[in-house]
Amino acid sequence: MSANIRPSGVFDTSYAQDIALNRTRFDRLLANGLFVLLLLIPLLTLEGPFGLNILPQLWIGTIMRIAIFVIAVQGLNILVGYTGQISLGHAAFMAVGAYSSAIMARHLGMSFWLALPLSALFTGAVGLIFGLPSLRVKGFYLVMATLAAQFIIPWLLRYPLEPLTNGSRPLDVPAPTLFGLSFASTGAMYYIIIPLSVFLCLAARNITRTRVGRAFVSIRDNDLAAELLGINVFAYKLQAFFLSALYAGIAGCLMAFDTNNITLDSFLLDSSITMLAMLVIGGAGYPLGPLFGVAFVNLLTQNIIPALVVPVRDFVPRVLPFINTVNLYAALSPLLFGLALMVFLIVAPRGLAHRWEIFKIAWKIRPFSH
Amino acid sequence: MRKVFLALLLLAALAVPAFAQDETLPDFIEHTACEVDLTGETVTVYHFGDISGSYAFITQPLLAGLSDAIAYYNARGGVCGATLASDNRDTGGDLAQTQAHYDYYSTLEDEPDLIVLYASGDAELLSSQMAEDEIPGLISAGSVAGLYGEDGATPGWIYASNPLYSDQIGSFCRYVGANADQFPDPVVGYISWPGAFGEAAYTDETVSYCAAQGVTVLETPEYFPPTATDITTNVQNLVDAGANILYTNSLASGPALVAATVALLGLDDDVQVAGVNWALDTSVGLLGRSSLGSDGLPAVNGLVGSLPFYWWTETDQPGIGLIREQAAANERALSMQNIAYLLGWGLVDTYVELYAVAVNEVGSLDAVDGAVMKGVIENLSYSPLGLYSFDYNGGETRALPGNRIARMLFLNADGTGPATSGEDAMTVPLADGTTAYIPILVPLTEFEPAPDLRPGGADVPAGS
Repeated sequence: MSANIRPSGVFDTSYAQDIALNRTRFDRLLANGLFVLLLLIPLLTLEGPFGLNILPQLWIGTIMRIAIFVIAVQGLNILVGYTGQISLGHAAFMAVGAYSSAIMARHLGMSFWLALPLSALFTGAVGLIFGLPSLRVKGFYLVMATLAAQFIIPWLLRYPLEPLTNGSRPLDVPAPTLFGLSFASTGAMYYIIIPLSVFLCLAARNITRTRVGRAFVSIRDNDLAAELLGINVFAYKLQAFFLSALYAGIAGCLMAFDTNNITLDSFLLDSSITMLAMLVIGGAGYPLGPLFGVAFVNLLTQNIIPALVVPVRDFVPRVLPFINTVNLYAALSPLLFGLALMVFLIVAPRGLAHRWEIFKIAWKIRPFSH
Repeated sequence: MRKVFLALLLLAALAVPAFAQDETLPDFIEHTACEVDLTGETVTVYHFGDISGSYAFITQPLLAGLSDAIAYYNARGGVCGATLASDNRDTGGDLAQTQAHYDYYSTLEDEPDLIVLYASGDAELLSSQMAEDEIPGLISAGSVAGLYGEDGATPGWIYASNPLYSDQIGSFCRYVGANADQFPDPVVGYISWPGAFGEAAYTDETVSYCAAQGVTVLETPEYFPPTATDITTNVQNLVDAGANILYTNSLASGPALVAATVALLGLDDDVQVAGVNWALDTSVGLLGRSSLGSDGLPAVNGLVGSLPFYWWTETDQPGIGLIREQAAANERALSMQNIAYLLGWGLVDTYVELYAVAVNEVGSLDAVDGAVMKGVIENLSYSPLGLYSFDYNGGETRALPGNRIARMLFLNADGTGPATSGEDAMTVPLADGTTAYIPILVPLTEFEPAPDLRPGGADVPAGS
């Protein structure tokens, strides 16, 4: 959790101040300023209403993808980071959110605004079902139980529910509308995804300040002790699974309405593993962990690795002539991803968010180093 | 003396490109005459696909084909004087990467007029986005959903040079139905990779069309991942259900594994292996070299499938002759001499023609955009290097229908025809110590339109 450090001369005078999301006026100004800045980004691109070309248009899609995954990983953070449970079925829960919202919109004629909360609640309910084994098992065995979700859910969507989901073929999703205004144009979904992502991140952070959040943390730290203190461990574990799946459902729904097209190939086991890795790299149990993790993995897979392919392809045959460079990208991508994960587990097991906290503390107590 | 030598050298250096520019295309390539000089400009072939994943056996030769063809055409004036270039991006088979690369291209300040795709899954993912962004795409072959939308009735902005996968299995059923003496009581078991590509040919329409041709398609398709090494159970399930033909919509290792498993089970005399156009490829012949059938030839010997363009062995076609000559000049290995290398050449030749027509129409390269290019694609009637016929019927179709059925065999030791046994076959030692047999494709039919098996298509039996 974030350290309770204030700049010199700043004191809390009430409990409310102590647990406030933004403890100082500067924090509040900074947070609001960043949010406004984020909302301004589309206006500064070529396809914005003013046709400005200050920022590349590519940023819009990238930021939206990051925001969607931040929501999903934030859900995983509630389950893994705060409650100490684990899930390898998170991508499957995203699929539930994506497909249920698409079906509601297509077959029941629901608007996006109704399909979003309903699909989220439905996904939460599905999460509850797969959370049931947490009553009996934990650790490695719970991983296996949640892994079942990653096999059962896609199978259900692909075969028995094929008339509704199109099976392995893509499913078209209509663009959201609001008072006759369509969100079909490029980047229009930005103004749905970004505010929702910020809101859900704040909500996830807020959970830690509530009775429920404290119960989650107590279960994570020592479930036996929590039970002895009168905490209904099973009920809270189920709540964590519900909330985690609910976040995944929202992310899946946003993904479906953003791309207007969904296929099961986007929700396979490797996505679940990637999201877990994002959380580990970003910092499990830190509100900012998902943001750091998703941004880092995106940077790694979409910028760093492709940039490395060409020099490595030129260099490798000179030192290792038996290596087949044709498959270099396919080999390099999981290799470097795995390596990054390993490095983080060894060097910074608490993730980038923890490093960020250390940096913030150092900044706040400057010029004193201790 | 030294100065004279240097001056001569300089002169030669200047003269070589000038002479190279003077090289002309052979007469059989009849591009539209350029009315606008584009010298100094660049036409880029924007391409992204799975270059390093399970499609690499196909996409690496495609890159080789693109590179050789671009060099060849640039040496002969490029596109009305403009230089051809290529920008290839690797998705590794990951849809997230596909989206990222597409976002990159579609947000370029100078938005591409045309994009080249490779995978059906990519086409399905991007179909609506490309229509929205008004960027046309060229793809080799595709699924109904990728080219005609989810309902199969909404033509998109992606155009395939091969028939739809569903139409290809239709062609195969038509052939089987018409050759009952070779295929008595045909029962097809569908065995493929899971996903957009692998499952694209198994539809209600194809099942009912095949039934109308007297070919039963089992209602229990089997799917195996591209990484699978043992599919005995899948094959056995289909054979137990009555299949005497196994049809696969996979490529490279997929058809090779199906044929190897059939041979392993001792069923090669009872079960015919068949597949999509990618199954009839050099890669399948080479990958299948270690699994031999009862005749001592690779188990893929005799594989039947679609061949919607001319093949390497059809040297009476001048386009094939040119490509063979260039592959030899560029020292392309046997593994590169496959479908995708041919299609790479066909693609570059198509680009030259498309841009020549488009620029003539709008007056400059800058004025060419996606909408202009879409119009040109839909109204062009052209045969890229004579490999296939590029004609989308004024925009009515999104996949070229011309198709024929062919059989994969292996060259005999004399190089005069197909081998009848392992002892009779021509073999080539490979660098890894193994021996390769030389695959050849023998057409069994003439070119004819594949049946239209889109939902509501002209050849879909009534009531299905």
